[in-house]
Amino acid sequence: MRVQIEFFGISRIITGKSHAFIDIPDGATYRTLVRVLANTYPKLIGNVIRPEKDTLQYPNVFHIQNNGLIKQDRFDLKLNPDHQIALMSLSAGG
Amino acid sequence: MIGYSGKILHVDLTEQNSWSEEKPEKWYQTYIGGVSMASRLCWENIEVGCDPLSPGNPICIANGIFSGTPVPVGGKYGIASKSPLTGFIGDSLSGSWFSVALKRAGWDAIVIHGAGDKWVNLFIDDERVHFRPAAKLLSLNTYETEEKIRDILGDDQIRSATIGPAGEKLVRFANVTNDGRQAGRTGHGAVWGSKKLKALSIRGTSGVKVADPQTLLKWAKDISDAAQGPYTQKYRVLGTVSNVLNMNRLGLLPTRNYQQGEFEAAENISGEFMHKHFKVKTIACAQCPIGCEQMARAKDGPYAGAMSGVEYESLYALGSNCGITDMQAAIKLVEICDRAGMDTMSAGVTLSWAIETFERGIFTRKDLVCDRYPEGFDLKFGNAEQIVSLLEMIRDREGLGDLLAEGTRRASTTIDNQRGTTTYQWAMNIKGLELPGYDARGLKTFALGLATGVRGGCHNRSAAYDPDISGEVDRFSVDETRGVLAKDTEEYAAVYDTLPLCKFIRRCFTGQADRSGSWPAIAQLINATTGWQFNEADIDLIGERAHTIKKAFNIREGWTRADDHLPYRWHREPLPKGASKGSLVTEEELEYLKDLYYAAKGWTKDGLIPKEKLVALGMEDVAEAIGV
Amino acid sequence: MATAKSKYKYINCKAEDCVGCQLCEYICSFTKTGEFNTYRSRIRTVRADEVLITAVACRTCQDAPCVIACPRRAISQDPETGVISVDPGQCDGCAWCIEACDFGALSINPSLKLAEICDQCQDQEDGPQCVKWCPKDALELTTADQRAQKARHKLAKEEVLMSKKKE
Repeated sequence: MRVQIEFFGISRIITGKSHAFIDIPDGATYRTLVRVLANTYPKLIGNVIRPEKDTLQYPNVFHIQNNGLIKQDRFDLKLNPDHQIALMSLSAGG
Repeated sequence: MIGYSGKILHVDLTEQNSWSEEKPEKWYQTYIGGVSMASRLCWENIEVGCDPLSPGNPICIANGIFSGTPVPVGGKYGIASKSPLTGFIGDSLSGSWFSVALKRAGWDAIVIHGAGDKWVNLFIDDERVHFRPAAKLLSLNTYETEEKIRDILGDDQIRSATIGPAGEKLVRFANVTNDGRQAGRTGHGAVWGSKKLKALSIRGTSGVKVADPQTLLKWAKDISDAAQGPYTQKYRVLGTVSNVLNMNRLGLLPTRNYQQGEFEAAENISGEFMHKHFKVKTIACAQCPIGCEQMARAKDGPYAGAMSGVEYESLYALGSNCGITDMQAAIKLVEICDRAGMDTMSAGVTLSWAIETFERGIFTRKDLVCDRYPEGFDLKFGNAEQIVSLLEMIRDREGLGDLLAEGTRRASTTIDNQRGTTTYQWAMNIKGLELPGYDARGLKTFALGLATGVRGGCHNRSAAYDPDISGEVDRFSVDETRGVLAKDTEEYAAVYDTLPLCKFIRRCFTGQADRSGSWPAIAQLINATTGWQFNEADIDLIGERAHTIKKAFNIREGWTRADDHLPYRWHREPLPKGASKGSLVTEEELEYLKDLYYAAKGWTKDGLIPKEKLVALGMEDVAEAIGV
Repeated sequence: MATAKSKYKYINCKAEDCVGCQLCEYICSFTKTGEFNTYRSRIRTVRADEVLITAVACRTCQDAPCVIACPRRAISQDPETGVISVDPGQCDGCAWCIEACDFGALSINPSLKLAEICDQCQDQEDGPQCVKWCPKDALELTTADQRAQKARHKLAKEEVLMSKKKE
């Protein structure tokens, strides 16, 4: 399936893109998505994706439009091509 | 005492004299510095019930315990007066070299009483106090004033806190500026203006000693190294402006006077767009290894050359909140505020009130007639030229600007009394302080934090947006945990505001932002500076005391439970679209949340403080005055 | 001016990386005096403009002008390292060295009235403390030749990248 992901913040600066289409096997989870992103954009590792490539570096999170935040504890959620996903750096404040 | 000079400077502008006060070590251990010590000094020195623009309202400046040492982000000071906007405590923070100079001049705090009849530049040269005539500085903007003082006095190590033209004109949300940073909110600039204090300059030539320099240095180096890593990356690379797209995505970006939470042009005024096209450089405050201030400059068009440090709170207030789609216009609006010495947030939210009032047909072209614009002009969200003109009129108190310079609460009350209208319904303030860049209809713990906030609608003192935005709790509903959450987040923030330490360092101690992560480290830093023996429980007390002295101040100045309110719009108008569509906070929800919060604080149902509580916090005299 | 023949090292600040935090001044004054006091620092930050920031320390000039200018011959330069030192027994704080130095690298100690200058922390095991402490790695102990090499590399890379882009 194909999912669309929007890059906000640091991930946008690093990838140079505001959004991307990612091809990913059916039944894949958000954990898989992290790995695919790490392989497609290796510069995200360290800054946005943890070196183990299966979680995001604080304070980065996924957000699904009208569905809320996907943090570590929901990473086994299955991806859905209808999900409008954003990769955000969410440390509030300032 | 080590780490403090043990001396507080008092200056009387009416009599043009000064004296030194000494306090026992226990007083320092209770109030530490920053907003807590400044608020305590305000409690001690104010003429209770006075008008904030009268001589009885003192200016209280309290330095940071780590100022002038290498402790990262410790170069900050607190300032407190009674706020001309709210009538309650107006406590603010600023930072950078001014606090270092104050430490090295040998003063822990300064209290300024009375009012002069001629404009003055107060110059504190180590232990000497000079009342220098300020006639040559009048009408200079904040940046020019600092440079001119250095020029006149011939030393670039002299640091000044100044007011700009807006403070001179007593714009109620005028601020105090030093070293390119601002004690931004609650109207300090107007208080200084009412005393004819144009600038406070300091030169300090002594060195700073600490109790255990080796331990302090080791901690400082470790924190400085951690501050180059992922925990601060957002601030270093993009700055706080990365919040524009984040808040827009969550449907919480204040748009057109909080009518919506989603702005169709958010990308154009986003931090990412600013970084790509207009960023000049990142700069740091004194003592800061992070470096988060993003200097942005307009390149072409009518605002070419406009440059300032742009923060999220400025960008939403003068950007999406005014419907502005042009980043360069937003930079210009920020620059006008920074040079004039005005709070960008209150200015932006006051502008947006005026624009909505015009779009609803209550203000007309005639209301905008003045010497500068004899034909008047229209007001429309997103029209940069009109909004720039109106902001300049506020700075100069010209025409309608004179009304708007009073802030949304007074402006709307005046208009409603004169014209029988209901413009208060879109005057977006709490206790008279204009709201921050998060629509709390979709952040219910934060709504509680804002409503009960001691200085008014302020995100910085509350910090309850954290559990809402991070998803720790459901931001669209309320439950019995929210009172404790609002209390805990507020007292956590109060620790940082008292030392002070910039909150951006909060994860760099051990990787955790919570107390168990940072409190042990902070205790060690305090002990290495002063030789005291603070532990984690003592750090908790710092936060609780800071908040309590401010609350006590408010109670003595007439606060009641009804003052903890939310704006009309947030009770009656659900967010129309976006990720937070449909949400609002009902009056019942708010009262329920307030009950929970007062209970969590150990206060009465009316929000008053029991005597025993105050005594337990070491505030016996406060207990006598306002305890129940 | 350090010439192409010079192997003298000096502390250089890369202005584009400097954020003006002044931590170098704190650590220098502490290392030299045990107090945090930027008036006693041998490296000084300067803001020419809101966004033009750098730090300045002794640049170990060849035939250093400060040495020549001192009327009491209180200043000398190590022929091997180029490091300048001031003899406190001879110095009387006349400040002619301040006039001679194009970079403002010398300062007069306000209480002792003696000239002070960067000595590259030769007595510290891990070398110049300011270099060690700068959070942005803007400071380095370097030679003029190394600086020139870096500039040439940077130019070459940019030219190659530009030409690759055109392909």
